[in-house]
Parts: sequence; structure tokens; C-alpha cells
Amino acid sequence: MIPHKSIIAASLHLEPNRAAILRDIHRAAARGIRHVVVNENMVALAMAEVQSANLDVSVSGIVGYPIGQWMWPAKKVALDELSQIQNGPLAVMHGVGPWLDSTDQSVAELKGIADLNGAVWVMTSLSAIPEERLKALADDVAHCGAEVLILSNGVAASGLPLPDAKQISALAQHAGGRFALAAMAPAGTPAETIATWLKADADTVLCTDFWDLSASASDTGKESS
Amino acid sequence: MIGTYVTDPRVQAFASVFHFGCLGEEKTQADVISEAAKLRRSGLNIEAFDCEASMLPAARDMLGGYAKLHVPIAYPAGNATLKQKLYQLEYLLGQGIDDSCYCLDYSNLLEGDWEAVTAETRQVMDLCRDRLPMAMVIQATLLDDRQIVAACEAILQGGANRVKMNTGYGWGTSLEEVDLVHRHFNGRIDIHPSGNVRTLEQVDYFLSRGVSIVHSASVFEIIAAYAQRLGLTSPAEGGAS
Repeated sequence: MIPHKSIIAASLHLEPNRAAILRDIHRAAARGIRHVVVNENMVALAMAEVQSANLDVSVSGIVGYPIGQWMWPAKKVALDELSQIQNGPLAVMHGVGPWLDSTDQSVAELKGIADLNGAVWVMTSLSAIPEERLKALADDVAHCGAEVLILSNGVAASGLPLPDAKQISALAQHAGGRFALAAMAPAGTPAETIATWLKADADTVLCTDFWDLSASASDTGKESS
Repeated sequence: MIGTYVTDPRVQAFASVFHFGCLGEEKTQADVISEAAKLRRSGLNIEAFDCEASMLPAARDMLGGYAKLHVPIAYPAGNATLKQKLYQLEYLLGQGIDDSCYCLDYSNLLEGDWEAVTAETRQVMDLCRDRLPMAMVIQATLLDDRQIVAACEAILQGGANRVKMNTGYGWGTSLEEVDLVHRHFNGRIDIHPSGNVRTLEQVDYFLSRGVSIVHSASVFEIIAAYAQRLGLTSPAEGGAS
């Protein structure tokens, strides 16, 4: 079992399922999991449920998921919109391809993220980044003021693998505590794999199977709502 | 190597149904430039090159008008907020691109909220009518037959007449899905297969159903196979890269 404090609940669906999102919101609350991330177009739905059921859960929509290659000005439109709706940190996926090329788009986006007000989480795909670029990634994420870097597995069809413990450990060293690392665990990720990520200095795991893999709140001394 | 068959007008006519592109999470600007250069070197008269908006300047620079530019909106999952999607569309209209597709909110499709599908389509078509050719993406792989038919009816009601069946990127279009739409709508809607189109036989089938646009990452191989069928190449020299 993964401690609930090490989990960010993920209700991200490429085959959207509103009922599953509502279920996950309640399950996260029941497990004492503080944060739930959803697709950006599902934030309004999730927040309506949080408010109507008076749940102690923060909701963030990941803007740009699952590829992250939309234009920054478009992402900014969504971030501004979500900042008025959601109660969790702003979250944005930064396209790893443009970052690897240091394109003007990537530079402008990182600068734009730095200019956002409030807590920001950034997502990108660690497994596409060679080891010699990890320090640059850590510096860029730190410079834009992100509290958390989510290590995406991206879309399965992209062929990008999950980040391994060695990559996470190396990135954690470069991060040096300037931001937290959240490793993304899609459906079916074994608890043993998640445990190796946490042991390798991932601070949290963005977990789809959080209901099955987490210890209940009562088991860890926190009452469920 | 691209074969000399590119000078044959039958090959060029065949090539003109295809979209080819470079899209994806890990795609770099260098990847886009490389693929656009490959297309330009080929001498093939394909319909359009597909890329993300963030890669538009690089693709435009490399192609220099060689092929139309197609940029998708909310690719591939359709899960942007409506406000963001319409912003993307306005931006692309300002960029003067040639062609686009729009990934609908798939949750509306899956939940059968056809009024919402029509309303979203209408907002898009009101913006781009007479300015930008637009196909609505219904991600048919996620839907059953009744949902596919209802989705096409809903986008027709919204003023669109082009349907892109899938985005590719793991979601592929089957022959049966194209057959279904062709049978029900028979010319009232342009069908654009996308995803997992790998063979000349698949394209033959689509063309026999009146399809005029095919998206394929295997365009060079398919065209080489077509040239071979015409007797313009031998099997040994049929490949293109």
C-alpha cells in the first residue's frame, strides 16, 4: 500500500468518463488524498461535485495534456479560465519536443509560467530527455517557480516508457529540493514499481489506481469524509 | 530514395489524396523540419502537411508553399476547454493556414449528448465558414455504430460536412467504420480516415467509398506500392524513404 500522503489522485481519461471522475473525487476524499488532477475540460464537473458534496479535495486541470504542444497563448487562456473555477494549483503540460529544441515557443511558455500567480505544477515527459539535459530541465523548472514537476508517461501510443527509478533519482539530485517530483503511474502500474520511484526520491506519485493502491485514511490516522 | 515515378500523372493524382505530417509529444522542431524536407524532396503532390501550431513557422519555412498546411485543434484528445479550443481556432485563422481538423469534446460523444456536439460544431463552423476547411474529429474508435452515425448527424446539424474518423496516435480507422458512414450518409459528408492507414489495399478500399482525403504516416510506402502496381517500378526499387 502507498501512503495517502504520497499520492496525487489522477482521473485523466483519454476515453472520457464523467461518472468515473465523480467516483474518483469521492474516492480521493475517502482515502484522505488531498489533490486530484483531471483533464482541463472536466474541472467544472469535478468542482461542482466537490462543492455540492462538501469534499476536502483540491482539483487541478492539467492544461495541455496529453501532448503539451499547444501554443502558450492558448494554454494561458485555459489557465486563466481554470484559475477562476478550480481550487487546486494551476497545472500545465510543457511539450518535451519543443523543450529539447529550446524553441522560442518553449522559452516563451516557461517565462509565461514564471509570470503566473499562485502555485503552479508543470508536467513533462522525463523519459524523452537524455541524462545530460536533466540539469537544464531542473534549472528551467526551478526558474519558472513550479512547486511540482509531474513526470508524464505521455500517451501510450507515443511509445515513451515510464521514467525509471534511476532517471528519477538523477533528476531529484539536480532539483535539489527546489521543487517536488511527482512520478506519473498510469492504470496498471504495480505498487512495487511505485515504491521504487518513491525510494528513488520521487516525492509523490500521480496515480490512476490510487483507490486500489493506497492505504485508507483511517488506517493512517486520518478520518475520511 | 524517391523513385522516378513521381513524374507520372497517375501517381501524382493518387498522391493528392494524402495528408502526411509530424505530430506528437516527443516531436522536436528538428523532427518537423526533417519530415517536411523529406516531403519536399519526394516531389510528391500530396494534399497537406500536418503539424502542431507551435511548429507552424518551422514547417512553413521548410515547405515554402510546397504543400498545404494542416493544423489540428485540441489534438489528440479534444479535452481542452471550449474557450481554449476557440482561441486556437482564431489563432489559426489569423495564421492563414490551409486546412484544419477539430477534436470535439469526446465526453459528449460517449455520453450521447448530441445537442452539445451540434452546438460545439456550430460554434466552430460559425467562425471558420468560408475561411478555413474544417473536419470534425469524432474519434470513432471510442464509439459504437449507433454513436458513430449519431455523431455524424450531429455535426451535419451543426453545419460541418467533413468528418475525420480518428486522430491516429493510437486510434485507427477501420474499413467498417468508413463503410458505415458511407452507407448512412452517401456523399452528404466527406470522410477522412486517419490512424493505422498503412497499406495500398486500405487506401483502395477507402477510395472505393468516395473518400477524398486520407491521413497516413506511411504515405511514401503506399505511393511506392501504387507505382509498382502501375508497373513503374520493380519490387526491388519500390520502396521510398
